[in-house]
Amino acid sequence: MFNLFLAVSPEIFIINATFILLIHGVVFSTSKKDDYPPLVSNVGWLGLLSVLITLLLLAAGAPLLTIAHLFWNNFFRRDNFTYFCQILLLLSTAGTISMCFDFFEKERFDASEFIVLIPLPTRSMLLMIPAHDLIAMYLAIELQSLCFYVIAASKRKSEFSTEAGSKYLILGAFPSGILLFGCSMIYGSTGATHFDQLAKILTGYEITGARSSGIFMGILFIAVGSLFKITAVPFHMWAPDIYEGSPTPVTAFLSIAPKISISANMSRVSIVASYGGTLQQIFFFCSIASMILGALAAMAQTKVKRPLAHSSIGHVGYIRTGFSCGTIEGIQSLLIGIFIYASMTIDAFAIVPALRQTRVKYIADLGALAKTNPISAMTFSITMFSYAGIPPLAGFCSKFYLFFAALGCGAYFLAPVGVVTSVIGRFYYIRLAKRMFFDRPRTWILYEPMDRDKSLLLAMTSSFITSSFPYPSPLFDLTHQMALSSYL
Amino acid sequence: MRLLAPAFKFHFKGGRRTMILSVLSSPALVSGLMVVRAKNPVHSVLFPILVFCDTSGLLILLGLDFSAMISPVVHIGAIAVSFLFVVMMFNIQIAEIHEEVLRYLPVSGIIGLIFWWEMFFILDNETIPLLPTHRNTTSLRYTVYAGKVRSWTNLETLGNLLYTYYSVWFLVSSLILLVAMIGAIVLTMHKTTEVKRQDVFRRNALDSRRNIMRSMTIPNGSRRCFSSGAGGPPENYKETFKRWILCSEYRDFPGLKSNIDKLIAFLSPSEILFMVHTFPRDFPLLEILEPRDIREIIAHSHKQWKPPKKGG
Repeated sequence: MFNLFLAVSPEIFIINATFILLIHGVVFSTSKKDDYPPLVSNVGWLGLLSVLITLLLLAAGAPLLTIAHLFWNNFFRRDNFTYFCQILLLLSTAGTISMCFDFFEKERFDASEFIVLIPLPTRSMLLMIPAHDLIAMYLAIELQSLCFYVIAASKRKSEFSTEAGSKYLILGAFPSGILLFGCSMIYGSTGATHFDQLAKILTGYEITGARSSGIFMGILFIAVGSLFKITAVPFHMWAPDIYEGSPTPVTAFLSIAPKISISANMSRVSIVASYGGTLQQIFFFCSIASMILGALAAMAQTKVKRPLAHSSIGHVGYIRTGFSCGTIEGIQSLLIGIFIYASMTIDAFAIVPALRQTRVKYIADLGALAKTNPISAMTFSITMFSYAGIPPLAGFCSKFYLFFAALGCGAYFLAPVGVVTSVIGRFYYIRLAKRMFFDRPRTWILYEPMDRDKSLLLAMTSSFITSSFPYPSPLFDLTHQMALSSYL
Repeated sequence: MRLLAPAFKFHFKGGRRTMILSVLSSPALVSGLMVVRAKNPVHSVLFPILVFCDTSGLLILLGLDFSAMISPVVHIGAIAVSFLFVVMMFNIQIAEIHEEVLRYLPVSGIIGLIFWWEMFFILDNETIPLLPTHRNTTSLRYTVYAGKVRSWTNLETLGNLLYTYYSVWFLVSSLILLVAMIGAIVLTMHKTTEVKRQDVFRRNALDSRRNIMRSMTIPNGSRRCFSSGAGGPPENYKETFKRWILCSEYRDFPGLKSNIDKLIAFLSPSEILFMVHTFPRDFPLLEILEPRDIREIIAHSHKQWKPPKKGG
């Protein structure tokens, strides 16, 4: 209908900024006249700036949401749901880029293309969230995954990083294939790829007896492919290895951004396109299994980054319970969970690299952090308690609402399992806090002070976590509006 | 589709189309099998080329002329060539003849049966017969007129939509290719290639202030008179250093004034300067640490540090 370029001006801006940054990085860092300057931080700050300007453009384009529902002719549909999801995504990306600067300085990292490969998947995720067509969804998922394969392997001197990159390639290329196979099955059975058309075709899917198995297989494959990408449990095979081996800001980016965008996309697909509880059993099973695995497997870990990976798998399981019940409260709890999960994860991944003196890898190195660095010990334990779901923090808020929504839609098995696994997982987080506060280490380790960007980020996210419980209403209103508009 | 499964009696009721179909698809199937079973890895990369050629022939049979022309370009020219590059780079040896294939039979058999079952699950409609039948479908003469209608070519139909309504998808696919290019360069370009490189030493020298301060506190590279090794340090250098540091800009660092005596006793001035710069706020903690621990901390943090030959 409308080919309105104004509507996509954030994406156009960010893609142009990416190109200009790429050219700038390549031209100037190889010019002999300027003495081959290392342009990583330069390009990094410009990348951060471009992400923030995209955020501003998106916010400035908000009045456009009210005039038309369908822009760009079969490509995407924008409404409040996508608007706030995109804002959350851009904020998390800005946070992740600001975590990178210290990493560059410490590791003597000099590839300026690393920064270019962060706004690029951001743009594809900005396109994935409002995507309203199967082909658009697949293209955006593929673009995002490719960028992640590259930045996960970008620390060339480390074998861990290469292993993480190749494992992520296999773990990511295979579900892209499954996703595309599902899309082609649906197209072959119905002849339509646009979600509106699919919604009309699939309206009477469960009520009438004529079930075409092609459609069923197609939706199943799309769901399985998307679940692979969020590393939900039966499909989470190498996710801890990937999270551990990648460089830390990449891990942070990897655990926040795809989850936001693919969850938003999946809720779009399930609500609009397949219009019914066809796959509810699968999502229930995945969420139960994710919660159980996240709680149990984190207990045996001795390194620092792997249990963060397991806890993010577990938390995604909790979020998936909100999604599995198809009600509005379910979607609202999913969105609350994602907002809080994003801030907790940024928090956790901002503290972990700051604790590195000589690459802190083992948990035993965290000992007596309370005496050397009491403030970062407290922030870390606030984050861990929020993951565990302890009441005066935001994690409890999100879990409470998730189980509430699950009970409200009749999933009477899911909520007790969730509560029990939450209690089991709590052991692990409290053990970290105990290690920090009450253990006496073998050798005392002094940590270098945290730099300014990360400390600002930590301040913002931990204040959000702690203040979300006494005053949760802005978040609740926001997500309620988002959930309602996604059903329109 | 007017395709018949080939009958056992070799009666070509369908005419040329079935002959072309069977001639093209059987080598495709056999080559697909040979990809997995070939002993030489180069052979197992060359067999997909045969598959791709057959597939493009099948596409012509279906009437998709544009796809049939593009698909060999993409599949053979890009994909098979990439595989060949990989095989060439990795120097893979010829596989063993007596390979224990039957070892994989239980699990792979189950997975194969699951795929096979899924196939039947999908193809449950009656238009695709499983067994050969002798249905005569060539008597539909009126379809001759369909061929006389002048319609757009494949190329025109694709271009009409791809560059106007769906142009964003086209641009996003080009971005995917751009990412592949960037990725290949980021991951594999070493500094020793002649084409474009950065000078590592200059780059290191231009690094942060910390690096500069580190280089100033190395005993042999420093310009400060306390730690230059020529002729040995003067006798009361510690007193001079202590006086200097208490009037310098470091005097307000927490814990420095109270701990400076203890530190001067066993650390050299360059080491103290290093500690001041790396851990500016942690001086009160040094009260509880042993001298040995402090030296370990310095040794860990300063990778270029060598302790001075004379003691302290």
